[in-house]
Amino acid sequence: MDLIKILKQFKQIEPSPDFAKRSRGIILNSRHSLRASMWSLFIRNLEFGASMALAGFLIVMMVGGFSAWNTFSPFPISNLDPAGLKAEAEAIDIQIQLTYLNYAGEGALSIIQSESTPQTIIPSPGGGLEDAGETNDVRVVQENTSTPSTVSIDDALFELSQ
Amino acid sequence: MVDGEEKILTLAIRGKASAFGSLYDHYQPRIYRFVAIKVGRREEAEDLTHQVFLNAWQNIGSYKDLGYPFSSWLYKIARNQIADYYRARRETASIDNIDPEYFAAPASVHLDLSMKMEFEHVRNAIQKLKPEYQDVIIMRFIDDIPIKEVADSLDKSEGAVKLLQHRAIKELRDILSRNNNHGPYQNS
Repeated sequence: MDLIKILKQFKQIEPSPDFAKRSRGIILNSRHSLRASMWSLFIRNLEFGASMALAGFLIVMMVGGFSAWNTFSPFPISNLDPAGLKAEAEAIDIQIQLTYLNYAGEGALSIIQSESTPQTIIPSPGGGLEDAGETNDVRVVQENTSTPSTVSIDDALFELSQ
Repeated sequence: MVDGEEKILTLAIRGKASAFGSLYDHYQPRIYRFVAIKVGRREEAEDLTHQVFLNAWQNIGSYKDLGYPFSSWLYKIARNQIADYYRARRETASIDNIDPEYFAAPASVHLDLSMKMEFEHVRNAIQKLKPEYQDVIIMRFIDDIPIKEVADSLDKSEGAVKLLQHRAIKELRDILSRNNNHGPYQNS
């Protein structure tokens, strides 16, 4: 008996026409599919749009770096603005100079005040120079210049007045 | 494959019911046959076939044309549906509790009596095969589907399908010979 020939007989198995008609009607009248396909179409478009935007962004980054971004983008990155960075750096320098000036000013004032009083410099027994009358004043001035933050000008003036 | 299937599919994906209707008309007999041979009962075969196409229509938006024929997608849905069907039956009923008549009411086919007996005998033997052997026998020897399409449907290579069909037909012949009241079966 030919097995393949018997198997070909199975091709005669068919659904009843009534079932086919009824099933077809029910399936095609279900509206869920339309919504599902519209939603999937939206998702697919969103995916495509997002991938294109990401690709564009990466190309801009590769070709021009952040400077290209700042040139073309309506939203420049302020932290990466070279002019701004330069201005900021200069401003920092100025602040340092002003601080130094302030520091130097305090020291200079003390020295000026100490120089306004007559001083006699005499050699010290240890080989150094020593002031005969105003030794304490000079020491105060030296303290002021070396540690301006610990002894204020007012304290120095008070010391001088005594 | 339906003429202009690509275009019809595009329309169906956009939700055009008449386009899906064309696909239904073309593929429904094949899917019904596939299901009917595997489950054996007309009512179940009809319900499962209906469910296959309903699922296909409801999820056609997620269908992506990867170069495989549309039928391979339908066969995959059908195989999943049949697996769910058997799983549900195993959970709800022991085989001993099922009325023997349940298995004795096949999807009908118009044949003379002796041929019909032969037909039933072979169909019972097919149902004893492993699911993938059943799939390849139905697709290759009953529906004459090209090997490439079968390979796409079963997620296998063409070589694997050739090997499967060889083993499947050998296994089927062995089963028939073990139940042999009909003489040895041959290949043509």
